[in-house]
Amino acid sequence: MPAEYTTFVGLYDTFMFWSIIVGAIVFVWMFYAVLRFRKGMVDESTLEKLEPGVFPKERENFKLEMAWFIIPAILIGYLCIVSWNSLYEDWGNSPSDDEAFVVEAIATQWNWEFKYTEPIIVEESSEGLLYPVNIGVSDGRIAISSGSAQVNLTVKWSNEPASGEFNITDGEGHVDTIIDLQEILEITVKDEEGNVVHEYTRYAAGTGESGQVYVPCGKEIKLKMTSERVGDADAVLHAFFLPEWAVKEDVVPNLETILYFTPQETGTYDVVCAEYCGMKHAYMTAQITVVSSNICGGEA
Amino acid sequence: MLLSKTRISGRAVFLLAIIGIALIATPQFTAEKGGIDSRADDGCYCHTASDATSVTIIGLPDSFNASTEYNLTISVVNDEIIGDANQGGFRLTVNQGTIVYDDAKIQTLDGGLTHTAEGNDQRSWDMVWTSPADDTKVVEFKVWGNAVNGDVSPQGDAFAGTSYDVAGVNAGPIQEVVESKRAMVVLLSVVLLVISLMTLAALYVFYLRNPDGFSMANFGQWLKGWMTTTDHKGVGLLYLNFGLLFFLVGGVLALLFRIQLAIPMNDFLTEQEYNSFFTLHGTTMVFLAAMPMIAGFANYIVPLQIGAQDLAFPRVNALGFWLLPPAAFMLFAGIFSGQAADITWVMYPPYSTSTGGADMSANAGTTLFVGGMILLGASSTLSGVNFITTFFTMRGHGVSWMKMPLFSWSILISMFMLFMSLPALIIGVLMMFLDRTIGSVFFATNVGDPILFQHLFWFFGHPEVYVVVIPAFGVVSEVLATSARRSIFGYKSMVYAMAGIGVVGFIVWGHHMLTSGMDPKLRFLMMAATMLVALPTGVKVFNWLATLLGGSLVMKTHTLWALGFLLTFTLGGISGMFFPVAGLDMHFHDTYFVVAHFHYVFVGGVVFGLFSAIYYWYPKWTGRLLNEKLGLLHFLTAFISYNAAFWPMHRLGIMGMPRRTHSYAVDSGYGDLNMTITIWAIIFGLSNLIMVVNMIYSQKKGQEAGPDPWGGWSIEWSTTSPPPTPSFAEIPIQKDANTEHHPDGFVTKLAKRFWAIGEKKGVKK
Repeated sequence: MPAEYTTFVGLYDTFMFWSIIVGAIVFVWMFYAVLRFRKGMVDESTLEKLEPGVFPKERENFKLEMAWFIIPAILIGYLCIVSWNSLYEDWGNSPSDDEAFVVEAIATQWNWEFKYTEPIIVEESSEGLLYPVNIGVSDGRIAISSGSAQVNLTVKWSNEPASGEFNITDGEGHVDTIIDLQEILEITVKDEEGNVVHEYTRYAAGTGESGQVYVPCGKEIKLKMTSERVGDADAVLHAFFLPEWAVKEDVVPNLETILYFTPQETGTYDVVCAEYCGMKHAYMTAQITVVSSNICGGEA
Repeated sequence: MLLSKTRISGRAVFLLAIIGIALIATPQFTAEKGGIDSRADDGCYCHTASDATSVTIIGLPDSFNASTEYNLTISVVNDEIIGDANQGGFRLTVNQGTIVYDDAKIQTLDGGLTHTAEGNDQRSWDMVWTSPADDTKVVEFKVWGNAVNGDVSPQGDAFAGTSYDVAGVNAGPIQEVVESKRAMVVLLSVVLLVISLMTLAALYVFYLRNPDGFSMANFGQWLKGWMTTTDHKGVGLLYLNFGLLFFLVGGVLALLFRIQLAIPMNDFLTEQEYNSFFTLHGTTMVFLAAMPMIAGFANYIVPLQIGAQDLAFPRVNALGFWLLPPAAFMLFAGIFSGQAADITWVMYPPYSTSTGGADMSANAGTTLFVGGMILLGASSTLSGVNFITTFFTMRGHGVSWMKMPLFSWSILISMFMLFMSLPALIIGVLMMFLDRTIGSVFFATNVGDPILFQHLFWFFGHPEVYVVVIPAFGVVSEVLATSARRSIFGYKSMVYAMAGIGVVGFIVWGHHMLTSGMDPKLRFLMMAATMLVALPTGVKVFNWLATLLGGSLVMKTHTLWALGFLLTFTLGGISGMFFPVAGLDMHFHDTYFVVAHFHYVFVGGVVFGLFSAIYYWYPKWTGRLLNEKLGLLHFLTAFISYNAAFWPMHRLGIMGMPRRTHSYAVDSGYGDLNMTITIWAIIFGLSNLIMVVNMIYSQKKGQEAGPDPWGGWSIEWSTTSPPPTPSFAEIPIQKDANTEHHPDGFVTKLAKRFWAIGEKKGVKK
């Protein structure tokens, strides 16, 4: 079931409301007619005579027939107007690359690969951690401070091809090193017993992973999707489908399709392929994680 | 005379030669894994098998621990054959775990490991096998080793093979593996069984007709009569039986993959089988079951209803039917090699035209499948020409356009739509066939346009939906009016509504492609047009309801089915309104909501309409009524189980379960609903057998029907049941109960004046 804040849910409720009304009219009418006008309840001699080979007397009522043409037409006109907005929102309001957080999605048989076009930082402290761990990365320095001076922490970092390790003893520590911001920077903070207390990953523009993508919460996400071939097989159609956000768009070889959405809740959601793409179509899945940003809170 | 005969046969030989060459050039021959040149699982055929060689894997544990590394050595021993430089080779397949090896000596090929050119100089090879994480599995190692005598030719070499089963520590004792038959084999057996049963049934039916005069020679004659008939009633019954048979086939396919879907992560069917089965299920149900059934009713009933002796081109009609069995065979042919078409019934390229990538490309059976679609198109085109001509030229006296029974009108409109939309499909599948066989690039990704095919297919595909459902409208109009002992309410608006659906149906195809990457401006047009379809459909529903008011409804089985149609079709129609809307379609497209919707209109609409038609017109074919008690039982079981099976699919769609998935995750929450669906689907499938039993039983034992058992008014009820051949001794006259004079309207006056229409077929007062 898609999230409450999507346009889908609002529209779905409107359509369900009118569906139930229309359905109720038809069914009540039908059951009434079937029960009230059964054989034996009406004098058949008053009805038109049906004889083989004779076209029976016609029955019509122009006003009635126009009524059940025009009233549904009004309803349909109303529904068209209601849905016009979603048409614009979902397909006609594509943000520019500058406004949105742009992710390139490359669909292959049977994998989703993602590439960031701007850096994103994913940070997570282990559950129940009693003191905060803050990581500051600036040109040439990784600085770490923890909220408690009593604990000794070990910091491991890697930034291909460089990597290193240093300790924090009095609540603060840093290392001076040249950081290549074109590469992924990973920092792991461990306590004295070797448990991971905090993890930090900065995905640089141009990097990415297969089957997993992080996006910021509260910001418009723009997916630019292409389909690529693997081996000798031709590239095929796929469709990016994220049930939680109720969005879907085909991925077409030789064409860049676009999907955009503004997530308002953090969490990890499944992405599936909705356009049949061959043998392992059902297992072509990925995960999208919405990480909290200053625009939108959430529990993370 | 002789000359012309020779010329024709010369041409035939020429054509056959072309077909032969085309077949040789067809990629069909590389269908088997690895091509016809390699026997991937038997070792290399170019060497000679020999007992003198022994091959062993050294270092295999008796039982493995999870995710542990084992050093393995494959060793080939043969003291008789000694080579110098080239000494030996091997091939190893392991079904689980991963293997790390030295790239210089060993390579991966055809799903297994083998030596490289450099690794040919030795008789033992080292590698590291990492066992799978699941230590309850049994891993199978198959190895072949070859002792080479060192000369370049394969002669004098000797190979041997062996296999090992290594169980995980928690696997329990290794059990003797019983070779289980794959579902494909089961299905094939079912097909063969059905064919034998049909032959037996035909024999039995023939025997019953005249037990004393039974002989095989007479049986041959009788069979020949059926196979060469051009009478519209004979061809109609052939169509009906063909359609019913393929309902069974399509139904069995559906139950097979419903079993696969019943529990999460099931492996009852492999992915290949699942994909092929739902492809064949869709194509079978639409093209081999529903369409032939409709063609059957059209053939049998329409000439009787409009007072024609037969169809305009009886031989073309028979040809149209006899194109179906070879087409069906072509569609299913891939199953016989385990490479059945797996391209879904919509056949979207580039997957369906992709050939080079083994498992990543469409199965080889696709080529013949697409060929079968071309044949189906040819068959339907012939029917279209035939029916349209019949309607325009062969109506009886008094059967003017606006005095034609609604079933005939529905067939006319549906045939028109079919005839107008088919070229798009035929062009599309022809281009696809060329892409697959001679390497054209209409839909190839680098130069062609895959979305073009979607447009072609849906320009046909959407009208096709109405092609099958409009005849059901016709049936229900006839059945409800007759059962309520009344004339239909708003006859004229019914005709206009059907024609309206026929026109609007051609401009809505894009709603199948709203998320295909099509231009958003087009999407709005398609959305608005699609919503318009609801208007004429609504008029029809309300007219049916108005027909019931004030009537005297007789509850026969066909009435129940028509009322059931009204219920389910309304639900299906309402759920159809959700799709053209952007915000809803973004979610619903290609989910189970779509599956639910089109089964509500296809089964609840078309099939229920056809069931109603079977109960309604069965007395006309056989002269006997179907058993009402069995009919009621059939209606109750089938109607309830049908709704119980398909209604939950809406919920699955809202939850986000996509269509065409082989399985789904355990924690997805789809499991319970899928299990429910499967159980009810099986009940639905079985319940329809009641109707088959009823049809067989009533043919002999049913109550005598007489010419007009239900009190219908159209001309077919004025002739005997079954009607004689030719159907009318002289062209019948349809009278008209509307005595009051209708002054001609403006358009009619103009038409009469300039085109003299209306006078020729003018109503005799």
